[in-house]
Amino acid sequence: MSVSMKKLLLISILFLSLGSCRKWLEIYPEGVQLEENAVKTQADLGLILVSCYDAMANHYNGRVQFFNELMGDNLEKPQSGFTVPIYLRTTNYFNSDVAGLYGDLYNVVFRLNYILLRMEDGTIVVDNAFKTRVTAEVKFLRAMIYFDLVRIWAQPIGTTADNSHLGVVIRKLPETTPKARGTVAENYNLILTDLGDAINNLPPSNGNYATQDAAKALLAKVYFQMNDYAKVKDVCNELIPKYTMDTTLNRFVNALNSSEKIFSFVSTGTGDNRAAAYINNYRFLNTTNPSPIRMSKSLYLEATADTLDRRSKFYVIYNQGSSAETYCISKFNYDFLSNPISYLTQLKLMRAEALAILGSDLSTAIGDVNDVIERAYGNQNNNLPTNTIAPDVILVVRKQRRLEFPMEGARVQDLKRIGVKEDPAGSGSVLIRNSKWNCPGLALQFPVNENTSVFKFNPEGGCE
Amino acid sequence: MNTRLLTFYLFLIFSASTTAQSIKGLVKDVGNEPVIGATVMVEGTSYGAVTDPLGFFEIKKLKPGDYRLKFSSVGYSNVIKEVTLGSADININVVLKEDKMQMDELVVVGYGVQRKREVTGAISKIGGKELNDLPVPSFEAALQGKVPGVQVTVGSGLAGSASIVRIRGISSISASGDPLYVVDGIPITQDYFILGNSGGMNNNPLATMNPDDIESVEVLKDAAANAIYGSRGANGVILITTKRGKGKGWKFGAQVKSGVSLPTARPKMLNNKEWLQMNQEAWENDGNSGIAPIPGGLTYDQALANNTNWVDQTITTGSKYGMNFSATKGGEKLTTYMNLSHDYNGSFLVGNSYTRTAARINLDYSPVQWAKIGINSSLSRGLNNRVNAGWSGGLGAAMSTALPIYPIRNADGTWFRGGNNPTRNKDNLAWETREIRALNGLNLTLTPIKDFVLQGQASYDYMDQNDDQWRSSEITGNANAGDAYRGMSYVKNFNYFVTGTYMKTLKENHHLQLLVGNEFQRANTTRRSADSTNVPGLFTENQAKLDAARRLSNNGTNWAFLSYFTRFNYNYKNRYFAQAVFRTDASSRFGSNYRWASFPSLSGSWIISEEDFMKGVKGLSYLKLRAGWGKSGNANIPDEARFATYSSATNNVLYNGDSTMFPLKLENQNIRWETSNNYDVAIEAGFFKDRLTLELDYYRKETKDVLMYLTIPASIGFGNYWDNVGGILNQGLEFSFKSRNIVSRNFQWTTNFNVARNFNEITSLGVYTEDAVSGGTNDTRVVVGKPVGTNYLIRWSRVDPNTGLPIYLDKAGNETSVYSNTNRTAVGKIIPDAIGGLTNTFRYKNWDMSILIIYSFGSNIYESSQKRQASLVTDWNMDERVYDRWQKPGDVTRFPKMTRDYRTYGLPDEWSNTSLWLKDGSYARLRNLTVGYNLDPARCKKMKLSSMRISAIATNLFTWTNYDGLDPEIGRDSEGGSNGELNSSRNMGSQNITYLTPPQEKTFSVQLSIEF
Repeated sequence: MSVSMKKLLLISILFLSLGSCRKWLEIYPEGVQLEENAVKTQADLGLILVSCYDAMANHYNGRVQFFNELMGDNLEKPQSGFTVPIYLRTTNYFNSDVAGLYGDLYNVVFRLNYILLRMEDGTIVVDNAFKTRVTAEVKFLRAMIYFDLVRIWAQPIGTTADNSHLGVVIRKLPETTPKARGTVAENYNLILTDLGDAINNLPPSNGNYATQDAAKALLAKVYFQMNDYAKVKDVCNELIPKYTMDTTLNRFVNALNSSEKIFSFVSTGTGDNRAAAYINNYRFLNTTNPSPIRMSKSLYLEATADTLDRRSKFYVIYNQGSSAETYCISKFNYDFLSNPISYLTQLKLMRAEALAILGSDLSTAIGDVNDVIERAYGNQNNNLPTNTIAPDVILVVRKQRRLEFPMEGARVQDLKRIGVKEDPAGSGSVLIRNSKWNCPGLALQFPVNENTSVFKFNPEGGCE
Repeated sequence: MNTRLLTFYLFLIFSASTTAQSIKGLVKDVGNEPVIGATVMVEGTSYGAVTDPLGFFEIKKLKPGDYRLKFSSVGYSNVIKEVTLGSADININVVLKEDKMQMDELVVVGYGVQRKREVTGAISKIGGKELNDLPVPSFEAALQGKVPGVQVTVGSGLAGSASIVRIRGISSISASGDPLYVVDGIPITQDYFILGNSGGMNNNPLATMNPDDIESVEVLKDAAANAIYGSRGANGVILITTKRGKGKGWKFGAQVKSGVSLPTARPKMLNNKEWLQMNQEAWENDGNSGIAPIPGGLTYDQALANNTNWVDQTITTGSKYGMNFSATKGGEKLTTYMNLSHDYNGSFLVGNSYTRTAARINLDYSPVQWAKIGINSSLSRGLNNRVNAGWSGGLGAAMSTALPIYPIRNADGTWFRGGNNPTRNKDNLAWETREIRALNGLNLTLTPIKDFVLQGQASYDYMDQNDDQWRSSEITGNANAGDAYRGMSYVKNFNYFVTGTYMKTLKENHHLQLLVGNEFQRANTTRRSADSTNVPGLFTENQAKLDAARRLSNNGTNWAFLSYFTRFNYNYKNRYFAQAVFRTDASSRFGSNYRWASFPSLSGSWIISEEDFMKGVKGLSYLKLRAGWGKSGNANIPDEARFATYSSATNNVLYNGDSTMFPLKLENQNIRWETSNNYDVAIEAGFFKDRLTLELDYYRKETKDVLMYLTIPASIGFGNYWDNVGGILNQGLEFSFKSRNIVSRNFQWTTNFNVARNFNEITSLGVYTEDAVSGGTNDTRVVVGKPVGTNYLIRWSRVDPNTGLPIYLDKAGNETSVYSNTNRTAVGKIIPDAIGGLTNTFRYKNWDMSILIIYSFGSNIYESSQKRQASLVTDWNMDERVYDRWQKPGDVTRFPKMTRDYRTYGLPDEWSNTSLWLKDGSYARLRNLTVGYNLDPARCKKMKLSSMRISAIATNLFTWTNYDGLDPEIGRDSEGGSNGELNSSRNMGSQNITYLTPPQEKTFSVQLSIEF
């Protein structure tokens, strides 16, 4: 072979090898989409909005409610795990269960804010009707999340006169910078503003998605938490006439078709179960295997004191008389359940308590509470007399709230609300399972990932 | 290039004929191996040549006449040949005899070989025999204690488990700290997180490699050595060269071995009465009376009647055996190496074993003098019979939630289900990881023109892992035959490189070599799973069920590297050496703005002993000074780290029957290479004809743009994202010596010693705090001014003798009863100050004995699981150390008074960390003791054998340590990784943070090797 030929060969091979295609390095993930390909149209934003409902249905599947119940007096101490410190009100910033819920809720906030931003900055072209409706739905969902964030991770509204005590971080944009916490006043302002916008723009009917009434029902709950009973009355008066009482004692089995339904999360089967945390925590299989999470003795005794109350039949006792006595609830002994979030009974009992506290229209208050009692007993024998005085109405309503909404997360927030109103100094007249309603540990600690120079953590412990 | 063009060129090559008169031929050694880089000089002229990688030389344009040819090469005796050149070319083949000192051994350097004396970087070489003789879960474990600066932490006693290998400290935080493994030029798949994180220690892809196939392992430690692998050299490079055919004719080898495996330590857990006593004491300490509640739904009497020793239930004596057959053939044109092996490696954990069956064939064929084709091909199968361990159960359960008061079975014969029952879990779980690994390379070496060598290799590394699990109805609770699951992953790793090397000797003394190359690598990982209910066993035994199973396809991942590189070597008088390397790499893992990075290196060495002024120095046979600087990089992050991704439009996540789409992660298109600046200065010396050789290295490695999977405030909506943050400094000293202390006909004694001192510090974290990256179980953090893997804990002071309660220290060091995370401080570190090994080898006549002691000083162990094994009574068993507890006022004890309520100690939960669980992790251990007998050659000959050897080997016989836990050598999977993603804290939690981690194994084995 001549030298020149060999050189030619050599040079050719070198060129061949150096010619590796640079496009080989343009590698994109499989099975997922890049943002620029995924989000192009109004319909894409619509898909993201549905994902927010999906995620919230998963987080409100009994889990948000469970965190509330753990802090309150309806549950026995869990056997083990990171829920124990929630129960004992000793969470610290390494509690992975607490961090999990916190991050999950804020992940939905990110999605909601992303939708808003993309509509606002014009990068996605949307029509006006879509923008109006979706903005309203986004704000309803965002208000719902912030309402729970501020109630779980901060001391209740009213703890300080101007609510300047710290709430949670407010994010209204999809952003990646660390931020300081807002005050509780700022948190509630956001919630009220969002709900105001939602109410103005949500449609009256919207399938299983948010409606104007859903936003109003949430607004009633927010006012109720704020001890703003006049506004509770106004909102409830608007809504209650539009719904009728359902005879079903367990609203979980009829969450979608109930005449009381205002807003529910939808389950379609065991693979699409939006009450999974309820069922996983409280379901018991048989008489020898209690549920993983058990009821407190105080709830059991209060709920079963009157055997004529048909709701008492929901409760089961294990190992009666022994030191290992435990109590379970059968409302969740199902494979899957849809999940009632807002419904008439809540409005009735809120209005009843509000009117009784306001001292106005006591007969409506008594009527409201009697609707609930009558359903529980199946007759009118235990109804409140029409001449019952306001303080007694309040007592009965509060008891009915505990009996009607077990495991729905209402109890601890009721006690906090009552504490703010009736024991503002935290003297100890309103206790939550032996602890002052405003003891530090009753606001969960934030996860350690918030540890930046701008962030102030909650004080820890201090509860019984 | 299209095929036609290639054909045309090949035609030209083969049809062309030589026209010049020349002397040409091959230079080989006595083993018939080509001698590369040998100088052939025509004495009295300026004509000469250097042999190519095939040993070929050609001296052209000579006139007819008589010539004296001088063949010389470092490490070989010179040979003079007299030839007469007429009108035709002359072919002459020469055999050079070795005249080797240790400094003249060949070292693989990446895309080539060099003699050790020519090397300008820090490279350590281990012979294959040293690796093969040790019964280890995987070959990399055998590197332990043998290479200065290489920390090998064997991955507990689980069969087939991975070792954690760190070269010159840790220079990464979230990106992988593992070195790059290159087998015969093929960068291979080794990530043991490839199947996620399961069982307490992950399956190790390297375990399929048959150690007997290994000819040598070279560890490239500094940038001068590994800059040629630039992009991936930051954590060092481990080059594995497999055996090839040599000598003349066929040679056969066979090896059989057998042994047993025991744990180095057994946990001493409490029995039922002891546990009940502690439970009762805690109950009463908490102010209660009567019988304390008993977990598991048992009455006190039942608990008293049960006394299960769960450690006995989960530990056994494991067995090991193996056989290995090899055949090699050398020859002029064709050389062959073949090997077939089967190894069964049972661990001391009941039901746990790793079986490897491997075959390899390496062929080299030289059809013509200027061409060689080589094939490396191996096929192996690994079968890992897995069990739960550590945090996942098994022995871990025996050390924690399996209480001695629990029976294995109830009185009616049914399994006890009231609490953790590892026997029930094991008997009702079948778990196998099967792996098929094919590693194939085809290489071509051409010398188309004088002094020029063209090499190319294409390779394909295929890995197919099936993770099969079956759970009986006892576990699933479903009324059927059981549930089966198979996780499947396929890793396809394609690589090619082409290099051109030009060698030239000018005026006899100036030796030049220039290498230019191009490399491309692309890997694809595909994951699928299949699951089915009502299956009576593993899918492997129920094919019909597998065919009908529900199948899910996970997202595949892909990555690619494209690289160009060049290396220039200059050698003056075999005395002064200089090397310059430049490599530029592109990785698909980075966005187009940051995709390319350049990795240059400059290094040089001076063999002072060759200087005239050193000739008279008595005793000194060799003295070399070398220094180098270079940059290296790390891109070991998930393939999709930079992208903001959204779920697929067909994600099957519906709400209310409507489709959804959602963001999966945040974007960071600005992620770029983690790069290190490396400096190395070293002295190498040999004394008394190299009877004693020393090597002392100082290195400094400054890493910047450290890739971190950062924890960001969850209120952003995502918990983590990837970014380049801060810097890390590693610097240290390495010292090693080899001494042939006694060299006599009948008795020889050799000592090898090495020690490495590493100093590691995080120099910057940008705007982030120590909590930005989490390690271990919230016990290990990134702290500026402290090493990677700093134990960041609330300090424990003592137990108050009056109350029995803990006293902590606040940040200022004052005693306090308040446990507050704001008082955390840097109190320990998982990386040792010094590591090393000492090997003494004795040979008396036909007997030999080798003793390897390894040591590691200055690290801490965080015994994370002990917080629930001492004084705080939970649903865990405790070990005997709990007896050192406070019982009455005045007691001065290690542990506080027993309690069932963590609030007694002021803790927020039962997982709270304090420095009470931080231990001294220093240890030294007798890693290996081998006694061998080599049959007399004369007797061998009678038996028609060329050699025969019998050896007895013991590993991990003794350990010297102050650590009061199980075993001070702790290697495990770090928690947190999933779906094959890199673990955010893999460099901070994989070593020295124990959470019920099983001890190492102690093995005794015998081995018979014959050659014929």
